[in-house]
Amino acid sequence: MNPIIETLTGMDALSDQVVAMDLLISAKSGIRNYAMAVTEAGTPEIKEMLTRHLVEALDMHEQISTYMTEKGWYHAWDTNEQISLDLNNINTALNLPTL
Amino acid sequence: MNNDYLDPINSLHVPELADTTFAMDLLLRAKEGVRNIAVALTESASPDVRTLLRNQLMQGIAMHQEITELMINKKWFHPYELSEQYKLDQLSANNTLMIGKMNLFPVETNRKGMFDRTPDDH
Amino acid sequence: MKYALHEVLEVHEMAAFKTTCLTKSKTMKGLVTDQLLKDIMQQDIDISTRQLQEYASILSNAKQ
Repeated sequence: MNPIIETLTGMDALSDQVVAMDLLISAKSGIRNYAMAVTEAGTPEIKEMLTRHLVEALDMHEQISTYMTEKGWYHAWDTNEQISLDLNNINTALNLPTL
Repeated sequence: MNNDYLDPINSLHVPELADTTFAMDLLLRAKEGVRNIAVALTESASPDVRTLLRNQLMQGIAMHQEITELMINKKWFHPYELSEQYKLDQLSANNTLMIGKMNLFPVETNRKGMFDRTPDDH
Repeated sequence: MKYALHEVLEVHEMAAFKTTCLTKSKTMKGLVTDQLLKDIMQQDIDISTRQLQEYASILSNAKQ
């Protein structure tokens, strides 16, 4: 987006990192929802569909987490690194002006 | 219904009752397993762990399917006819209530006095 | 109806969840700068669209 419009609308806080994190969390809750739904379904047709969707959600989750790891926005292997990133993000969110 | 645990009438249909109970227990475990593996998958990052869990997830879903079909075929489980399922639920609820009302331990089971001191005193 | 009631409710829940996901992905894609992230989001939009169509057909089958 145009940097000036971004600042004007307060959208500069909504960085790619935030969007990617949102996508990751959605994918994660999606997988959990699917797992619940699959074990409730009995009709083969519905079960097959939900299983397929579960696999697709798993692929999506994997893709996003790999992407975020490559970008350095997600440190699954380095807790300390992840904690400092978290603290940084917390402060960014806390210091955001309320529109 | 009777409250006498020694009455032979109560041993009627016990094998069938046991089978349905164990099948239901197995179904719930399979279900819990699928959910747990899916949650674990969202928490794992290394590729070999992910492939392992994914295979197990697929096996778990297949297992769940198999148990569901078995239970439906045996008429132990009626997901499509709620009124049938309701009758079955009433039956098992009443059985459970009956067992709960039985006097299963008619004689004194208090073990106080069997030991002359508490374990800490040794 | 050839589906069990609880299954239909489960599909309904997934459809509601996926609808918000798709709406979010569609609107947020415009705010993203990185091309790779854009691609992933587009893929998510495509998959979610197809999945929602499948839910729609199941739900309309379930409707009497």
